[in-house]
Amino acid sequence: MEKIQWQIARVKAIVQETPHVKTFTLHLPQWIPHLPGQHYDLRLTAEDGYQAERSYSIASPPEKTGEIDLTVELIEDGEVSSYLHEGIEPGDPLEVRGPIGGYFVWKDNMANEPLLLIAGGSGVVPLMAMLRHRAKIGAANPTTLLFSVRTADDAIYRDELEQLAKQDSQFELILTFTRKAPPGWTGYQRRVDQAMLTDVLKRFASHPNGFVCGPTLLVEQVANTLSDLGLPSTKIRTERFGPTGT
Amino acid sequence: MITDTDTIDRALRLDGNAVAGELQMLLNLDVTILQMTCSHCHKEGIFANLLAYVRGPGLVLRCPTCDGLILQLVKSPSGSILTVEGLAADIKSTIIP
Repeated sequence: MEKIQWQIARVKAIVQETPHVKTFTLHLPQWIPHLPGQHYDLRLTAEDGYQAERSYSIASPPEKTGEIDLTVELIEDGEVSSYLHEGIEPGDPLEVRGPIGGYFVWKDNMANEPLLLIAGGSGVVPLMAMLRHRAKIGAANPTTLLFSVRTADDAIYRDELEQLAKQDSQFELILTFTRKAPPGWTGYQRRVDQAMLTDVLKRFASHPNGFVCGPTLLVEQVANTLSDLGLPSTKIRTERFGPTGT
Repeated sequence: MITDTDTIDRALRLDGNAVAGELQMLLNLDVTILQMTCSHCHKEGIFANLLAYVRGPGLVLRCPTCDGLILQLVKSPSGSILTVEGLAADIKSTIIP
């Protein structure tokens, strides 16, 4: 394991992904190759010394060397996300440390096993790193992403995900809209529930590696339901994002 | 804030992944992949699955099965106080593959 330390990253680019979500590309003086699913901590320091830290998942694959993409949702009253969304511009410095966490990661030795990804809202970010890396290494394992979003406007990376599904017959994207579906939508229009997870699990010939990321309550409910449906707990990895909502 | 939940504590809880950076700086160890046993209920689990409460003056980790206290970390200008009574007796060095 590489020793991590705080370092000053430089903001290289900012992309508005959805009305409430931006991706920050950070150039790192000390870049360490990460595993898809890992995160960085980000620390802000006020003039009076007050500090606030938050963890943000890496969205970019390790093939993007020297820099990382952090995709950040603007949280109402969120002191760190508000500053990032409203106060940061390309060229600005940001203090970060990472990559962190070796549990919620998709490893190359899983590339021949089926993969089930379930995301609520910005929980899709670490799963996107997995999908981007999977595409880069040319893995052909059956893979499904079940992505729960409030409305079409909230579906982060939707164009890229749909493109990926179009190009790769082994990757399936399933969206569910919890608040408002787009006109003409014939797919799921509710929160992730047991019937939906039963349908999704049926697509796999053998137990998939499951990664669940999103708001705490969604993650706990989905993990419990997957377990009830017979997916061994050793096959279910979870990461809670706290109260970001879906 | 969206809290379709019964208590603020429940809505705000995170997991062991969220405190991994802090503990890695302190211990030079990726704690998320540790297999451990709760000293209260003796249930085995992975560190990343512990419940984390991070909005107070310190960090608190609890067992997801029995809610027993596993770890507390309080940082002050003069140093850090780390209490690991919930796992110290039974901690294993097993790293999951």
